Formats: sequence, C-alpha cells, structure tokens
Amino acid sequence: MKALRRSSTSSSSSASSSPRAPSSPPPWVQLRSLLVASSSSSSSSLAASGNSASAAAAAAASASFSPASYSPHSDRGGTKSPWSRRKRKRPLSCRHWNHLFSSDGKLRDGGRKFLKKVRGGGVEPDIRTKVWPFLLGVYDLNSTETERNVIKRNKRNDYEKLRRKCHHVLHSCKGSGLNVINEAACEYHSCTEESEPLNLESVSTRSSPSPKGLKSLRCGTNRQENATEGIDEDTSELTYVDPYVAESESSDSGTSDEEDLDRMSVSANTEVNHDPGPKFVRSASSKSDFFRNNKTPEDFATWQRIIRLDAIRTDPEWALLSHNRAEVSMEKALQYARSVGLKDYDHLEPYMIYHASRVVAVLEAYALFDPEIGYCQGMSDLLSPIIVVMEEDHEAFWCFVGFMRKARHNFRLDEVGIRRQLKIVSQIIKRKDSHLYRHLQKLQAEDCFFVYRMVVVLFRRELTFEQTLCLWEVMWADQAAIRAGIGRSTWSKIRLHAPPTDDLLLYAIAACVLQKRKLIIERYSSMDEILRECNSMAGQLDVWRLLDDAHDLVVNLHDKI
Amino acid sequence: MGSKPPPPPPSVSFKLVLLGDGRVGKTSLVLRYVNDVFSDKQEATVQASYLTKRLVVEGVPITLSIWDTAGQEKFHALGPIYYRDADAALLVYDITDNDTFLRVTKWVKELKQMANKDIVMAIAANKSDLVRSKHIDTHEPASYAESIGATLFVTSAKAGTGIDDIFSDIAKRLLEKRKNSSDGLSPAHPKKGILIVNDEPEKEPPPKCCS
Repeated sequence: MKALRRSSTSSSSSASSSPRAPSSPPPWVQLRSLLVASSSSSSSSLAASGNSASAAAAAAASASFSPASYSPHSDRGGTKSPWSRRKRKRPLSCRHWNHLFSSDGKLRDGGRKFLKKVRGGGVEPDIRTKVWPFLLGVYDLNSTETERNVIKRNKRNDYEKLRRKCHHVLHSCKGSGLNVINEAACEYHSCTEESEPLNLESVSTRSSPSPKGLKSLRCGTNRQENATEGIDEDTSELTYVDPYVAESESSDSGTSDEEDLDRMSVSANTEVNHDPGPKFVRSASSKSDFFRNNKTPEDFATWQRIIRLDAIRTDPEWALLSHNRAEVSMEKALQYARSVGLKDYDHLEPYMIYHASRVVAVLEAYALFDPEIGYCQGMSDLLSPIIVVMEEDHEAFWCFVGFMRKARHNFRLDEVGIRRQLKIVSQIIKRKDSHLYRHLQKLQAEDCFFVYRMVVVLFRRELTFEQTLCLWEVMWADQAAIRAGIGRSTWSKIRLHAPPTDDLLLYAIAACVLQKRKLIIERYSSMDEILRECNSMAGQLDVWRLLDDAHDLVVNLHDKI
Repeated sequence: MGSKPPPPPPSVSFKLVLLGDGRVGKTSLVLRYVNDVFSDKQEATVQASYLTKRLVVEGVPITLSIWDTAGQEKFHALGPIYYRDADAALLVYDITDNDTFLRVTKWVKELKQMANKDIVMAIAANKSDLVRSKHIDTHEPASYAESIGATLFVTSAKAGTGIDDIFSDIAKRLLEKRKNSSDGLSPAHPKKGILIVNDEPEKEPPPKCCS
C-alpha cells in the first residue's frame, strides 16, 4: 500500500519524496549499472552509442524515480550490492540443496523450502544442472531418487527416438521423409499421453508409458531400424491417418495462414482426443490426399531450414559461458555439426559450432514433439540458456519442454497467448498508475504493444545472461509452486508476502514500464518512442530491483487482476 | 556550390516498413544503411525495431522512419500494425532462396489490399554476395517488380552493395509522389490513400524536424 501511494505521488514530487528513503542509492549507482551494462553486451553498447543522450536521460530519469518507488517491504537485510538497492537474498547453494533431501532422495516438505529459497534469490550456478529439472517439472517435487532415475532413463530414450526421426527426415529425400514427421508427431503424442504439450502437468510423474504407448513406441523403433538399414527404402507407405483429418479436411483452403490454422486444429484434435490410437494404414493412395490435406511436412522443412539459420547466429557470449567449452575439440564439433546437418559454420569457433549443433538437435526434436508450435524465431532465445546450463541434450530437451509448457503460447499463430499477456500488463499499469495509463491512452499505446518482445522472449534480450537466469529461476519457482498446489496461505506463514503467480513475468514487465514512467510521461509523445525505449533497455535493468517491484505489484494487485 | 537556399526547406518525414521472410536480411540491410555495420550473427527480430535515417534528396532533407519487422510467418499477423500507415514498403528476399521471393509476392498482394493505395514499393534481392557467378539472373523478379510498379535492386548487406541505391530510390519516389499529390499544399499534409482501417485520421502529425 505504501509503495502504491508513494509512486502515485511521485510524478508530482519525486524530489520531495527522496528524504523518505534514506537508503536509496546515490545517482552514481545508476550510472555504474549503465556502464556495466554497456560493456557487457555489444548490442547494448551499440544502442547506447547511437543514442547516448537518451540513454543518459533514461538513467537520470530512473535515478530520480527510484526513491519514489522504494518500498520498505523489500529491504531484506544483508550485504549491500553496489548496484542494487535491494540486497538479493542468497541464492540456493549446493550445501543447502543437499540438505533439503531426505535419505531416500526425496525433497522434504514437498519442496516448500526449496521453492521459497529459489523465489527469494535464485540458484547458485554450479548446481543449476541439478536444480532446473525440478523447477521445470521434469522431476516431480515429491519424487524419490529411484523414481527419478527411471524417469531420466525413459526420457532419454524418448528423446533419442525423436532425434532418430529427425535424422531420418534430414537424410531422406523430400517427400518420403515427410511422412515420417507426421508419424513421429502423432505416434509420439499417442505414446506419451501425458507429456504432450497441451497437458504437461505430469511430465515428471509418469515413470513408464502406458501399454498402448509402449506398443507403438516399439513399433516405431522397429520401423526406424529398418529404415536406417536402408535409407533409400521407401517407408512412406506407412502413414498415420487421423480419423479427424480424414473427416474434416475435405476442401483445400487458399492461403497458408488458413492452412496453418487447419494444421493447428488437426494437432489439437490429436492432442485432445487420446482415445483413437494412431492407425497406421498401408496404402499408397492415401499418400497424395495426405500431402494435399496436411501441410505439416512443408512446415517442418521450413522449420528445419530456419532452425539451422538461427542456430549459427546465436549470441556467442552465451556459448562462451558453457562449462565445457574448453573441452570441445574441433573434431567433436564438426562431427556433431555434420550429424545434425548444420551449414555455413566455417567461420565459427569449435565451441560455437558445438553449441549451434546442440541447439539444432533440440529445437528440431521439439518441433516434432509439439507440431502445433513447431519452431518460431525467438524459441532459440529461450533454449540457448538451457543448452548452456544442461550439458546433456536429452536433459536440455526436457527442461525446454517444461519451459515451453507456458511459453509455447507466445508462439501460437493466432497470438492469443501474447494478447492475453499484453492485456494483463496493461491492466497492471492501469491499476497501479492511472496517470501513466491515461498518457498511454492518449498515445493509443495502452495495449502495451511496446513490450511485445519482453513477453515473447521473457526478457532474454533485455537482461544479461546471469540476470536472465535469475529472473527465470524465480519465475519458474513460482510456477512450480502453483503446479504443486502450494497455495497462498503457506507463503503468508513464512512471511514471503507475494503469493506465487503464474504471471510473475508480466508483473516484472509492468514494473519495468513503471520504472520509466517519468520519461514516458514527460518526454514521449508516440508509441514509436516508447517502443524504441523498450528496445534499447538492454543491459540497463537491475533484475533484483525489477523483481522487488514486481513482487510489490503482486502483493497489491494479484487479487484484482 | 552556388547559392545557399536562404530558408532551408522543411524536412519531410516518411514511414518505411521492411517486409519479407525470416532470415532474408531485413535487419542487416537496415543496420548497414543506418549504421554501416554488418554482423554474421544478427539475432532474429522477434517484434520490430525502429530506426531513423536522415538524407537529402534534391536539396530536400528527408527523415525516413524505418520499421524493421519480424519475418517469420508466425509473426505475419503483426504486419498490419506496421504497414498500415506506411508510405513505403521495402520487400526483401534472399536471392538464393526462391521460396522467399514467393513470400514477397504474398506481401505485395496483402499490401495492395490493406495498405495505402499509393504505397511506394521496392524489392531487394539480398545476399548477392552468396551468388558466385557474376551474372545474376533477376529477369523474373525484375519483370514482376515492374508489373507492380516497384523497382528491383540487387543488394548485399554483407558487402554493402546496392543499399544506398535502393533507399535513395525509395526516397526520391516518395518525394516525387508527395510533390505531385500535394502541389500547393505544404509538404506537412501528405494526401493519404484511403485507409481500410481508418481509425486514426489524425495519426500522422506534421513532420517534425528532428534536426
């Protein structure tokens, strides 16, 4: 409440509010963060040099604004970070992590302490590999070590099957390979009923596929082996015919958009209806109909092409952070690159080639796994950090699947997911700061379209590597708490004010806009200018201040939005 | 060298939108043009970015507001937001990939229906540095361009060729069009074609001289 009142008065008297916040950082702190930021990322320094005047103005504006948005709630003692007014709570350490488990390797108290810790301060880098599968729902919070080992083995197999399909498609000529995609997608979705994208809640808990799934898995494997024995062998006769497709898709529609929509509805059907198992029909005649009616094959080929183009253009700074980059020999990198069909990588260092190959492998497998979404630019932004942290491809894949459980809606063709989220950001701003909201209305920008990129790639372009991971971890912990049904009452008992929310990201985005309110109100007279400001925020943000502000917003507004 | 025009002519601003498939080099073209830089590792544009470039054409200072959009088909629905009140569209394709040219023709169809009736269009056949043979066959795209009243330029953001040409061609045609359509009127009030979505008639303010 205090925070709310203060910031609403701040527009009129930001200077007079500063004495009330004696512990707010001096202006040099802001400048320093700016310096750190611009040296840390080439793109931001480019933006800063191109626009240094406005960057300085932005820094000045946020410096003068920060006292006003200061909230006593969020000052949780501890060592003072020089460039954050908040002191980040200590991240989850290895020692602490190990203590959280009982003798059978199960998290005590259903993971409450674990999630609380991560929500407060993130995770120490050296244990991320172990912790992320829990945060992302690959492992259930209540699983024992034995159960996890089984899950891990099964998931590894599942991933390898997906990869074999990808490999097969890549090496078979167009046309015959395409059926394999559809088979793979459909088959996969039928055999891992509960781990499919639309219903991922129990990705982790399922330790073995259902008998029906097992059967079709085996069938898939056998056929795959046959196929790889003789790659020229025509496997295209085996096509999966979905009863719904046959019934509903009788007419050809014109534009590719419509075709894509059709495809979406098709995969929605296969996802929603588990019962009609995949039917493998041996028939040559159905092939042409199939191609005409189902556009997934073309799309997959397109995805394959774009994935490869995007993979080699990943920001090298990210790959640099991999633990094992020194170990990547040129030979190993080239071998991997060849196996996934990477192209045009001659100019890259071995570790970059290796990183790019892994990105290709996982994204391609994901496109098979979730054909409704397939691949969309921006997804590689979300995968890159996971690839860097998770050293095994299959683990990276399943973590990515867990991440995409929510994020996949950002990449839907119909943009429903994005629009919903932009609307929530808009509502948060409206509730919190009607003055700013009216200004946005005046500029016809109240739809908050200017934060589109932050929503799509979850701050990846705006924050540094480490900051992105911190934000995501806190966000994942919130989502994990909700999945596990750890409700509001639990958190109030342990005095963490903000209840977990599925939309922490959106509160953080709103907080980020609110931090710029003065600049927006006083200086910007069009949506274009605000968008440009948002696009040049890279490196200027302090993730812990952002999270503090976001949590304050959650406390005040979660039951009103 | 001779006479300095006593009152500098007012700056005119135009909105230009870049459209084209993913990975054809839209961002690279703009960055080469505006900042004269090129990166092999240009990240995919996931929304749109906005840059401005000032240039002088026939003595008239021009400000181009350039909107660089996300190319992948998935972001197609965002298109109208950018081209709705655009004065010009630069359609980009990858000269080594015919599919990306087809995407250009799709955009053209859509622009004809949805954008300003008199939107100025140009087509960039980008990545010419990847074509080994000296002779680049652009017969078909060029005649297509002609048929829609656009001009075709072969460009390479990497090598930096053809880029100034295409932007200044656009600027010239924009200026010409504005002169023709608004003779007598001040350049501050361009005549707009009929907008299908006409929810903001006063959207374009008189061009602000940013210099």
